[in-house]
Formats: sequence, C-alpha cells, structure tokens
Amino acid sequence: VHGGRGTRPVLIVLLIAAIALITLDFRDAGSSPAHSIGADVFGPVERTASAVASPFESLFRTASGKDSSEIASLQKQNDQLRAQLAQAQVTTQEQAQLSQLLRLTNASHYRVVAATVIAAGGAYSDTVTIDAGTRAGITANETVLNGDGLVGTVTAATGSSATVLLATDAAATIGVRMDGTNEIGAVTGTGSTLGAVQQLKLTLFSATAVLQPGQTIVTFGSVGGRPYVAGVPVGTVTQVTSQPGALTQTAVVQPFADFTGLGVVGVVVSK
Amino acid sequence: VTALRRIAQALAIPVVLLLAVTLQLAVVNRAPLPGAAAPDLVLLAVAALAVCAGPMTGMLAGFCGGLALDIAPPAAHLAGEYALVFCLVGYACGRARNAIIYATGEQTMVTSLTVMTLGVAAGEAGKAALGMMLSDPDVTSPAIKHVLPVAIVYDLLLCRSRTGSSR
Repeated sequence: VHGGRGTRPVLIVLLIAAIALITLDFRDAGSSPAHSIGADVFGPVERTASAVASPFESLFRTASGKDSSEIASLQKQNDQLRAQLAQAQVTTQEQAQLSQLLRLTNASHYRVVAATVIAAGGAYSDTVTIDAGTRAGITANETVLNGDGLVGTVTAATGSSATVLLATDAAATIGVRMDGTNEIGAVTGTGSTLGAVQQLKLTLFSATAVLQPGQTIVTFGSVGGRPYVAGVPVGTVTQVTSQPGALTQTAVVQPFADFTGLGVVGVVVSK
Repeated sequence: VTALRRIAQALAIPVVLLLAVTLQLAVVNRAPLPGAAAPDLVLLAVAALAVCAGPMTGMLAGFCGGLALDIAPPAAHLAGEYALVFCLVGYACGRARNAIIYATGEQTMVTSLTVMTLGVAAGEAGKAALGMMLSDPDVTSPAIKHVLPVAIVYDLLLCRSRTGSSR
C-alpha cells in the first residue's frame, strides 16, 4: 500500500480534474462557477477569521516597527485607521461628504456602501475581499475608494462578500486626467514588480502637455460610472520618466491610498 | 484504539488545511511582511502532511488545499492552478518519503526536512511557472524575480521552525 500501485490512478484522476478546472476557468476568463462557489463557502470563514484576528493585527503592525519613531508613526496610522473605523457606520452626513469628495456632478445617482477588508490575495495579485456584497447593493465593476483616494474596482460579488481589484494590480488600468490641466491619460498598476513600494505608472496621451512632479491626478470616469466614477483622487506625480521623442509621456505616481493597510473602504453603488 | 486513532488522523487533515487556508487569506497575506511577499502556509501544510503520511494523503491534501486557495476570494488566478501544483508536490514528497523509508528503514528529521524543503521550493516555482504559462497578467518575469526568492525564504524559515517544534 505504501507508495504502491493504488496511488497512481488517483493521481492521474486528480491531475485531469485540475486541468479540466483550469480549462473551464480559462474559457470563462476567470469567472467560472468555481469562484462563486468558493466565495459562498469561504466568504463567511474569512469574515470570522478576520474578526478573530483584528485585535492582534494592530499589535502585529506595531511590533514590526524597527525604532520608536516608526512605532509612533504606526500608532498614528492606527489612530487614523480607528477613526476610519468609526466612520464605518455611514450616516447621511458622511454620504454627503463622500459625494463631495467624489465631486459628482449629479450626486443623487450614487450612494456609498461602507465595507471592511477581510482577506487579501497572494503574493502575485493585489486583490482583497470585503465584507459586503450583493445584499448591500454591491455588484461587479463598481468603484472602491477610501478617505484618501481611489482603492480599486469590484470584480465579483456574492451575497455577503465581494472581491476588489486594487489599483496597484498589474491587471488594473484606469483612465485619468490631470487635475487642473485636464490632460487625459491612463494609470496602470505595477503589481509585485516593485516589491513593497506601492506605485502606479502614468501614461499621458499628449506629448506636449505639462507633466511635472507634484501634479495631482484624478479618475477620468467611465460610462455610467463603471468600473470607475469620475473625479476620485488617485495620487500625485513623483517622477517623470518620459523618453525624449516618445509619442506619450510617462511618469511614476504615488497613490493617495495606503494599499498595505487597507481597513474600511467605501463602494460607490448606483441607486 | 488504532481505528479511532486513524479516524482522528483523517479528521485532522481537513482541519489543518482549512486552518492554513483561512490564516493565509485573513492574516498572512494582509500582514506587512518585509520583502512584500508571504509564506504559503497551505503549501507547507501539504508538504508536511505528505512527509508524515505518504503520497496518497499528500496528493489528496494538495488537491483540496490548492483548490481551496484557487476558489476562495479574492483569488485572481485560474481555478485549478494551485490544485495541480500542490497535488504534484504532495505526491512527490510522499513518494520521496516512502523511498527513503524503503532504502534506510527509518525516517529521520533531517530527511523529512530535506524532502519538505525541496517540495516547498518546487511548489513555489511551479506556481510561478504555471501562472506565466497561462499568461496571468500579474505573474510577469520581474514579479517572479521579486516574489519567488522571498517566498521561498519565508517558506523555508517556517518549514524549519515547524519541524523543529514538532519533534
């Protein structure tokens, strides 16, 4: 029995099953029923685990600091996060504030649903799970933001949880415009290629537009506000990387949102 | 007594896997670890189970644990990728363990650790290779260059501490 003949047929069956799953998911472009079943099963588990782990998390974040100043800054961050948590119960006042933040031309079309991050994706993907889903009115392709700026967009939602593709993921491309000059361009995530540094790459479509460090960029907006509503602050230009003679200008953008410490986020849902 | 023990062992395996998957998604992936990569607890659990219980347990645990990581939100890769890789890792670790027992007649901590180390490193490489083959936009060569070494180091550190504490 030990390593004998019985194991090989089982191995072959399992490998065929895995390859069949990959093929099915590949055909459905990563949205096969397997994912929704997984979300239904593991969503509640993640929610419970996140609730159990949350008291330790602040401790963990403080313990990872190297010196007292870092601990102090982390504590400040903790306080900010706690303040954000207090804001989680979105009142009508906060809705108004968030709508103001969005600078929506017609704010009555949207409302913001608050949610908490309960799980995060593996090393290669920048995705998170939030603890609100279709029962809270969230559907796919809705904008996710927090008090600092743009966070990402919803890629899938089940009853009680939703998956968010962060703006820093290599698969995320966001239409943006320069605040002030209204020049348009696109921002893409850099994924895991830069390691701990959370940065975005900006491509400005005009070769002659003014592009300099310190400029703010906001989302350009999509038709019907999906997947991104207009006017959400994304980040500031930190470094211009354009090559002379290139048809487009490129720059490195530092996002406003801190993607490593995401807590409470808001999802912009249409009414 | 042996029957009861066997049932207890069989029940422990899904519990260990579920715990590993939950901890991985809700805690480890969210922790701001230096190097911006994280250990894979599920892969470690699969390698450990295979080394302890042989290829059949190893590959079944690998398939189930991998599949759980594939479909649990917020997974962005294709369902079945990790199931395939972890299943092979579990099978290979179990076979290596059996071959060592057959050749030397005993199982020492050093050989178990070596088998686990190789299995875990191969598993991390397999995840990266399969992601690249399936043209996952997140799994690019600069991303692999950054994530793979850090992930393997974390896995090996945990592998060492886990085996050290259990003996």
